[in-house]
Amino acid sequence: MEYVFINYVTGRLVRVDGKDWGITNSTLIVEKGHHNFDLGEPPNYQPASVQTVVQNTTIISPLIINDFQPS
Amino acid sequence: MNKLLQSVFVTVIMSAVTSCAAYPVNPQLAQYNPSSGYRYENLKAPANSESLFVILTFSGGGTRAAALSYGVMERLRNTKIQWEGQERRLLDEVDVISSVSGGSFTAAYYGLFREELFDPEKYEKVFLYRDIQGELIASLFNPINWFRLASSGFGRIELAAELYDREIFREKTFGDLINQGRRPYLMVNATDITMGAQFTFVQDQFDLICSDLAGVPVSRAVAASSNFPIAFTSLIVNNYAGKCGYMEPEWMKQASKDLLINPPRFNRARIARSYLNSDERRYVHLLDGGVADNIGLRSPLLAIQSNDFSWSIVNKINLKQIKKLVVIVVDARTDPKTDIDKSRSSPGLGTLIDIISSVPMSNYSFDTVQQLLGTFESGTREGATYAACQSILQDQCPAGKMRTPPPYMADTFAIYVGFDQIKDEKERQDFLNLPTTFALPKEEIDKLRRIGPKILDESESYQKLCGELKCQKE
Repeated sequence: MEYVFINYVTGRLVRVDGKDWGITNSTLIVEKGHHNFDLGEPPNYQPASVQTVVQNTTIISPLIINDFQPS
Repeated sequence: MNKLLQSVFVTVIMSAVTSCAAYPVNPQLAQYNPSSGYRYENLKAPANSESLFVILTFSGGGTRAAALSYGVMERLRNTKIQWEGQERRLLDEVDVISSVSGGSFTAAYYGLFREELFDPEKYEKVFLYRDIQGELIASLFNPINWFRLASSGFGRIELAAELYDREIFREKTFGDLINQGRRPYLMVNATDITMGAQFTFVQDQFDLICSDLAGVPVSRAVAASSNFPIAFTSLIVNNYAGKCGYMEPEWMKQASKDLLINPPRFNRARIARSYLNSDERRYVHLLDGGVADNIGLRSPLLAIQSNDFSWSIVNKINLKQIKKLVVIVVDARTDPKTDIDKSRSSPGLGTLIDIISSVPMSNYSFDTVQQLLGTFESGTREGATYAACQSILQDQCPAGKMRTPPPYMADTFAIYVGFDQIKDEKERQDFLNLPTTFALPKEEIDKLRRIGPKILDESESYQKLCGELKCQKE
């Protein structure tokens, strides 16, 4: 079990590897390994997706992704 | 002249019988469409909330397993609960049934015929109390079947599949399950013998081989799932990969980079990709689901641990769709007494085959149950860690704030129904020494139907769940 927190200016849907996964600005659970994160539709944000490897996180120190910004 | 004509006539008839003998071919999928077909997402559930998510897994073990799981189904049917202000039966809250071998008969019959499962004139008569084993053996002595079995495309398992189709599952297909469009999602598991991997009769699996599961009889899935090695031949599924525009999902691309980070995930992608090479794998050979996982828990466990599945439970929890997650494992595992260690003589071939085909499966089953418990415990432990850190922070620095909020967690209940939990030593030994067969005496079946609910009721985790759901037995 790994933990990821995706920062964004508003709460919106987040997808992992193309599947609905959770809401931004909350701590979400993901399987260890490589993943592709995006914010789905509408594509009014940059970058279009973030690919990263998730490992060695804990519930109190999740991987924080700050990359997404409104476009 | 007459004799010559007779010989020619008999030869022609037998050639015709032999040439007609072929397994029913699974249809090709015209166009890959990830939003159609037999998938969890396509099943509606008007009287079944997703917030209380109930998974049942039924193990292998012939009629013994079918009867034990049947008894548990009867208890769930007769248990009323209160959930989100509504009264309903616990059975109506079941979302997924994952099954293997003997357990697949109960699971598939309920999936297709629902309440008829409990009609004494239906399931009990056509399968549970019937000497299916005797009928299968009798079919081998039918001379017409000798010629059919001489064909390379018609193995012994086809006789079983025909019997199940005609006598138990009334020629229903997965298309009928799609048309019903209702949960529970039925996952009948077999084993792909080349990869040693679970092969589940759901459209996600059939997408890989570009085949339309809608046209496959449910009886074939059950036959594959209960296709005991050596007694039967492999059940064959045609592979049309590359002919339906299948698009590899994103998780497979990502998982292929995980060899040293998450080897099991890498392996799942490797196995999935093996089907895409239809030149090398024109046919998929299937045996009993118990070879890969004899309790049917593996697929649900992966959906609990991984985001890679279309019905990923961890994704549903992240999305706050599930409040309570309940997994009831019905395991008809036995532990027959053996005299091997009382003698210096090496055991015979039959005994060795028995051991090879049952002992590793049992050990693997314990491991799978442990993984489920470990996954649930780890969620609880992590939640406690967060709360402890928060408490220390507030003590030491009242104005301080945790950097990120805790993740949303569902309440989890792992419930195991197996003979090891029977308290009375003699009764426990009686159940642990039942044979694996498709013909048990009526009194044994009746006992199995009674012991399943008893073990369920005595389970601490089930009692806790029932307390929270205000269970009432009818």
